[in-house]
Amino acid sequence: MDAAEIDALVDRLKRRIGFTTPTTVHLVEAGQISRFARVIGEMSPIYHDEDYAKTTRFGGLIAPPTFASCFLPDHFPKPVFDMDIPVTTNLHSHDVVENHRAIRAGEVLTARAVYSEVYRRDGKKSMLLQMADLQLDDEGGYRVAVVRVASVCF
Amino acid sequence: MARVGDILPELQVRITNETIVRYCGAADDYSPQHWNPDEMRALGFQDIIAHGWLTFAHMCRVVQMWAPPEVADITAYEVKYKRTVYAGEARYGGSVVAVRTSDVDLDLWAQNAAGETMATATLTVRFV
Repeated sequence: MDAAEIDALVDRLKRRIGFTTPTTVHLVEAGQISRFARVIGEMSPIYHDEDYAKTTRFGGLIAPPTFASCFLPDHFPKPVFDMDIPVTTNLHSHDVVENHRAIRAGEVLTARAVYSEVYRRDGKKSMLLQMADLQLDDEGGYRVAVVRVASVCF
Repeated sequence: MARVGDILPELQVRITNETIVRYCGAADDYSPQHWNPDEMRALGFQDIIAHGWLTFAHMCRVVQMWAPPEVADITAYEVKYKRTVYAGEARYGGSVVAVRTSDVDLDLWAQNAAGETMATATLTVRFV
């Protein structure tokens, strides 16, 4: 795509800003946390050993700091991004995250994603850059984390 | 107490295609670019690529080797993925760039075996 084609796409996609994906509900299971931690090589007992975790300030098992990414696939790239666009490659560019507190084993979280930004980025070639925010809330309505995901298409 | 210029412990990890596929399961992310080499080669890539989040998870391990969750929270971060990551040896590290009361700002990096930067991040740790 050349710059003019991307600009036309940006004009179309700007109308999508504010689009919100259906809410998904997730029970955070201790086994899921432990499996995730093992795969990334994180063997701290605070992610695996309930008896140890009870003695910490959290009072139980918590998830590693990037665990919020596990809630993304229900929302990214689809349905939050419009996949019916003429690009061949769609790559994960960067993430901006606010972790408001640790995710705990046994809690129920809800997730939704909001399409938030789209523009053309120029470098060696022109690319389409899109962003969307995953909002992760607990049962009390407290916002546990916000994950802004950026994707480049060309 | 942390001081500007402090260097975090380095971490070296061998990423394999098995690691990448196992991460698909752990993170529930089955995008074909992480498990389908035929599709990736057809698109001009040499093989499947690692999830950006897998790279960043190892960068966070560096932080937690230095400031474990028992004493510190990772409150915010921005990570930028600089190049596609294939299976191979990788190194991760970082340093302290600012200290503000209980908050400490870090710069983090991830490099492949050729010394090329795979990702960089800025991250804030809050000591409790």
